Amino acid sequence: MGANTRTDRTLPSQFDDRLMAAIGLTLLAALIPFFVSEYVRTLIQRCLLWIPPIFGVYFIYSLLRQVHFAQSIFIGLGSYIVAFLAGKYFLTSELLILLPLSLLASVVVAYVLGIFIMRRTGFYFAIMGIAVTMVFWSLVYKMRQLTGGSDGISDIKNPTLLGVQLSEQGFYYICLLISLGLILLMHRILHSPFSMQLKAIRGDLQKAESIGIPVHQMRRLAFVVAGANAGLSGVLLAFLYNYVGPTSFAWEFGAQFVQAAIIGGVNYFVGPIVGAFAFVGLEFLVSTWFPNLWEIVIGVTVALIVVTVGEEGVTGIAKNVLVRAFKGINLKERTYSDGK
Amino acid sequence: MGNNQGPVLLAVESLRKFFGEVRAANDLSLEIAQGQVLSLVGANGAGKSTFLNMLIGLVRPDRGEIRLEGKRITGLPPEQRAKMGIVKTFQLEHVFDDMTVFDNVRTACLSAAGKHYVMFKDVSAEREINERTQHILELFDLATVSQTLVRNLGHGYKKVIDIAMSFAMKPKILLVDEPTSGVGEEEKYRIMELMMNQIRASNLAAIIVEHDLNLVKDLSNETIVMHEGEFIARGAPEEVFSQDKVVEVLVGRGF
Ligand SMILES: Nc1ncnc2c1ncn2[C@@H]1O[C@H](COP(=O)(O)OP(=O)(O)OP(=O)(O)O)[C@@H](O)[C@H]1O
Ligand SMILES: [Mg+2]
Repeated sequence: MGANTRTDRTLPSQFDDRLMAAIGLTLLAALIPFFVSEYVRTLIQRCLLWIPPIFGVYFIYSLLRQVHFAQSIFIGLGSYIVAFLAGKYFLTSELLILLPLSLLASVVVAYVLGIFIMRRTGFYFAIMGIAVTMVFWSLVYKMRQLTGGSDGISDIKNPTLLGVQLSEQGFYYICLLISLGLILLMHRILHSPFSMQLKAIRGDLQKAESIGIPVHQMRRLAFVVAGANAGLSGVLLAFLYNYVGPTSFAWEFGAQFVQAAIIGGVNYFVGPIVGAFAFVGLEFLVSTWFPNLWEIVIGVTVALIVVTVGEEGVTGIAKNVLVRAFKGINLKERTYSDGK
Repeated sequence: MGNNQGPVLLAVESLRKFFGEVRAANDLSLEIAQGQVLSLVGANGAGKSTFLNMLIGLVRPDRGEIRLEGKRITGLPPEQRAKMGIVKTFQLEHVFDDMTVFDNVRTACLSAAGKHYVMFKDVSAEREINERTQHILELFDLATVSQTLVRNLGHGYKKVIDIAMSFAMKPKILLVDEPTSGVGEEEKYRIMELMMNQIRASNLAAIIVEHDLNLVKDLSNETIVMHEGEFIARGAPEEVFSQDKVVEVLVGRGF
């Protein structure tokens, strides 16, 4: 793969094929509501809202080589904040209140959980993520009075922005905007001193702490960054379906973001985006054609990708095809996270 | 322990660490003044690395006190001690393998500048940090391999990179655990010279663990001999190495 020829100092801001591709795709996404059915639009919105939590998984994996199964905690937090405040105990459905509120809640919860979860690495980190998620899930599931238990909470009012009720299309653009904003933010963060030091921490923890890097604090903060992404998505997902159920807290849901990250390819910055569309698209196709085979299909897909291309994912495959088709195209986004 | 080089920088008092039956450190006490360079010798398993690791906080002592410039640092985590000026290089390879040489040293420079939580700035655009990184690379003869991934470099290079990163922390006292272990004869002298030049140039205090007694004689005019978790002799190398008890513990044990 010629990993040693790359240099981290290449500026990411060149006007190159990647930028053109990004602009093209963004325009396409912006025009979509005019051309597709409501059903397909909702599906695309779902993809867009999956991108941030997958980015969280990608962030933790690519920099720390840890598998983050606990994103659903933050999706759940954001979703239930909406379910309570814009549904059950209606107070407001203002996005400018609910989004910051969910962000704050995610940050606080992630920081506190991070104190425990981020003490562990490798296998134990993954298992603890699952265990903590199960605790959240069962609390929500059991507190029927408050949460509606397995029935969840429906009747969520439509979102408003600055007091103005958003149309379905308007809400689509909000989702697009926030998803894009978070992608750009993650791009910045992945090129920041913060990320370089995280990479150092995973490279050699003892060396990192002995050159003064506050390893535990920084690992905790990485967990917060990942969780914040999911918390914001949680708010919008609740509005998208006007329904919130305890499955948004299920660890299996968190595992789907991991699967999507693997499908997308953890070697590439665009991996989470590709992964979101690939996963949700596949889910859609299988559930329309072979409704009973979903678990098998997704399991086999992930297994096949891991066995054949590993961390390259669908993005890696697509890149190879593109490189062969158009010589010299450069889709590989360099971040501090590559260089396996 | 009489030394007239200046005020006491590091004071260690009755530091103890037992690993089960093994007495790795048995009530070790030591004082080092600013700018003072000490060498530490002893057979394999004498407890040299354990001692240094307790000083920087990677090993927790059973008892004892460590003071840096009069401040008690015994319970502090390694990153805080590093910030306060006590930094160690490692006996084994401890570098960031999947980063370039430049980024290894840059990481240390970022850390020294306290830039840990900067999330929205491009690292490659941090001019001051880059200039300092480049400067340190030049001091340690690493400029030519600046953009090479560390994993593609030999053991000798990794030792130097470790030392360069430690220097980037602007330490007051540098602990060096066998800078030349596993390094060829010729390179050994080159590394030692590079390092000693920098230690002297910045008037650092240092404790250097070294197995090569010839090298030790050139390093400093004061050496400490360690045996089974205890300091058994301290003084000028020639004088110390001629003592019977020292000869006994060093001869035939890798010396
Ligand atoms: N984490 C540990 N657990 C158990 N025993 C240990 C541990 N670390 C060191 N020891 C033991 O403590 C003793 C001192 O080890 P240490 O590594 O400090 O010696 P050293 O003088 O650095 O030796 P060398 O010259 O081989 O590096 C040895 O007997 C070693 O086996
Ligand atoms: Mg040792």
